Amino acid sequence: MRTFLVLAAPLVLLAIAAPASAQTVDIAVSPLEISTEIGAEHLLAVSITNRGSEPTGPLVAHLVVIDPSGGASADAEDWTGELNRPLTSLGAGESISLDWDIKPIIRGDFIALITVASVDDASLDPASSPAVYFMVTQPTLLVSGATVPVSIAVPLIILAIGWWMLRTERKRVEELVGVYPNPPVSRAIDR
Amino acid sequence: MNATTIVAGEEISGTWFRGWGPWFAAVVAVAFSGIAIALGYSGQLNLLDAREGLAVVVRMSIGVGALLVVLSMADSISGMRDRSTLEPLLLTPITGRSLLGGKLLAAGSGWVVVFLISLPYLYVIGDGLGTIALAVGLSVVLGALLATTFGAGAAVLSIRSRTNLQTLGVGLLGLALLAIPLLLPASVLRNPIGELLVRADPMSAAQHLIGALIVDEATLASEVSWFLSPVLAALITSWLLWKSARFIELEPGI
Repeated sequence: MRTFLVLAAPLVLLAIAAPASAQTVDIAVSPLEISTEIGAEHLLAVSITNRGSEPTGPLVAHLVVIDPSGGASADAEDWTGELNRPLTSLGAGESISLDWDIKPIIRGDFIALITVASVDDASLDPASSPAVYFMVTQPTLLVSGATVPVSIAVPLIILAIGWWMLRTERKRVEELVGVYPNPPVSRAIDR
Repeated sequence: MNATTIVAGEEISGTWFRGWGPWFAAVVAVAFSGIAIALGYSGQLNLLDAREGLAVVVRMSIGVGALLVVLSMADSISGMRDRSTLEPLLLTPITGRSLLGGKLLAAGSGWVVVFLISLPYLYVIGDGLGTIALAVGLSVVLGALLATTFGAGAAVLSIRSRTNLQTLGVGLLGLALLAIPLLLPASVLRNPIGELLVRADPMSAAQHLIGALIVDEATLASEVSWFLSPVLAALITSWLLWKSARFIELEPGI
């Protein structure tokens, strides 16, 4: 027990001595886990609440996308058309709800966050939402089973149609001319 | 059956039943097949690549169709002058407008054939993207507008040129010049003068539309103003052809 008190006392003192958090904005986001495919659109429901006793002043919400592996480029501006969302001042206890369109464009696991900062009040600490985990897989869309058969069949079909058309035309001309398979018209004229 | 239909029928028959049409169509199909297989076997393919692939097929269909129409229409009158077959034709009761209308319809068949060949490739490359209908629609609308523009423009040149070589040279040079804005760096295209250049050029505007609507998934409402120059170009060149085709001279001067 004494050991516990000795260890806990400095922590209690530190907690008391630390300044009260200036973070007065709470951000809730839903859903917190999204399993999806590249290119699929998702709506993040974001709720921003002023827990303080004063109005916040104008705010800005920003989407951050993190690649925890560091292996791929995760440019948030490619994931959404609205990287920043300017917000009006929130009164004490007031909330605002946003729908954020997000479309992952590369495969992998990513973390998305919504951060909110004051536009003009440096004393208001930026706030961050809970992490939203994206598990993005590659859709099996392009290598259509029909690609190779179509790519082989179409030129062959066109060649066959072309050959048939030319043959039909040649037969028609032969019937018109009468006797010769290849009428030597020019030679006859020359003579 | 009116004179335009008779001329169109004869020209189409000459190209597709007795001429080089089927072999050209087979070469186009082989080129489409190459693109489809290259895309299908790309290991790191993502959605963006798939949309780019779809856009390439639409661009190729429109571009090859336009080239085919230019080659056919450039030959329409000046080619006959070169072969000395224009004089007997001018002695027949057919009017210049009927003659060139028929030839333009026949030249348009080249674009139609290229478009029809592209359809199965659009289907296999766009499978799962949900943009096949858009790609087909763009291919039809922009292809028809550009085929009309280039066909009518080449016909006007052909009426005015002394030799077919002259028509072909000017026609292909014009086609190449219209492709230049597409080669400008993106930074130039973002400034107002660069954008104006691309908007004013029907071919570049069409290429922009294909990229914006298929690759970038922009809405039709936001891009509709880009249709202006292809529509205007088709109307202006058709009007010029209508005026020029009134009298076809045996020995013209530019």
